[in-house]
Amino acid sequence: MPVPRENVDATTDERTLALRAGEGDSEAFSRLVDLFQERSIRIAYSFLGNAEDARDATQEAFVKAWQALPSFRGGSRFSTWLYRILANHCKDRLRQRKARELLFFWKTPDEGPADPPEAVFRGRGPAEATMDGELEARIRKAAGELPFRQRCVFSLRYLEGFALDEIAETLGISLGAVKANLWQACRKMKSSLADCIGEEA
Amino acid sequence: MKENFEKTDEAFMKKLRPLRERRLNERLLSGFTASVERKIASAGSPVGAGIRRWAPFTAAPAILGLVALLWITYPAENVQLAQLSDPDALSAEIAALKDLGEWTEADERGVWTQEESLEIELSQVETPSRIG
Repeated sequence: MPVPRENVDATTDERTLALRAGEGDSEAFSRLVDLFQERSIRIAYSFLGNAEDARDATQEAFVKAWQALPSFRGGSRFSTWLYRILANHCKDRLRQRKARELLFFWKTPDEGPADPPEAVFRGRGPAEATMDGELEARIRKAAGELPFRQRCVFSLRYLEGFALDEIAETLGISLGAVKANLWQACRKMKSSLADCIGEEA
Repeated sequence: MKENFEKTDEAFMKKLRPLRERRLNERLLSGFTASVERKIASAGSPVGAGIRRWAPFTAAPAILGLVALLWITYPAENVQLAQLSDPDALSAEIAALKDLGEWTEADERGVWTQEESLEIELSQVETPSRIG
């Protein structure tokens, strides 16, 4: 099946901007930030569960990407490369959060608690209104309790709509590992949400 | 399992579609690009960007320099005789090179013509006048 024309243009544009940014063109990089900021923050939020953390982590991931751009050869899409940096960065933040919680177990964590979806997303349009807010919060909470890799594949697949091979490339794992992690994640989600997610899932 | 995976995958994709269509709150996006721009301005240019820009201009002198260095340091194809001007040391040096396997018949032919070899052989014969 031929790739739609607009996708070819978007990919070419993305690659050109990334190569220009790699030569130190900060305007080209700002354009890339404009293009990918929303999806990146969404992804970070699905990994971290807190909106401000997600925003900070995404900014830091963009800075890391900027510094590492000379090593970007254009073999993969810039967005895939960026999301991989973001996933690794979120993983580091979670590790640091866990270490802080262990070290300062008597203190309340300085990073905010999980934000409800209402605080992160705009008001519901007609499509989103088919799912009530409480169910959405429960799904996101249950996804947040999955082990990190399962949470990553689950979020990228069902909350962001990535193709399976795109997830494999983003996380640097095999297609089989993506399917195995998704399978395990789906089973856990089904058992956590048995009363509300419905028989079809 | 394959069929189950595909069915489950499809069902989750369908069920969670409304979540994929949520747009981020504008509060999270406002000033985002400007903030990243400030951070990258303080971080400086990407590592190696300057090297890449100057690479076409610096590559040729670098390659020429490397070739010159190899020319100076790497031994020539044929064995060079360091003491070619000293006839007494020459035989000893060739013998040593032969022992090391560095002296080949090609070298032998390259250094001595047949006439020269004959002359040397004759000169090595001790005549009664030289003994006397």
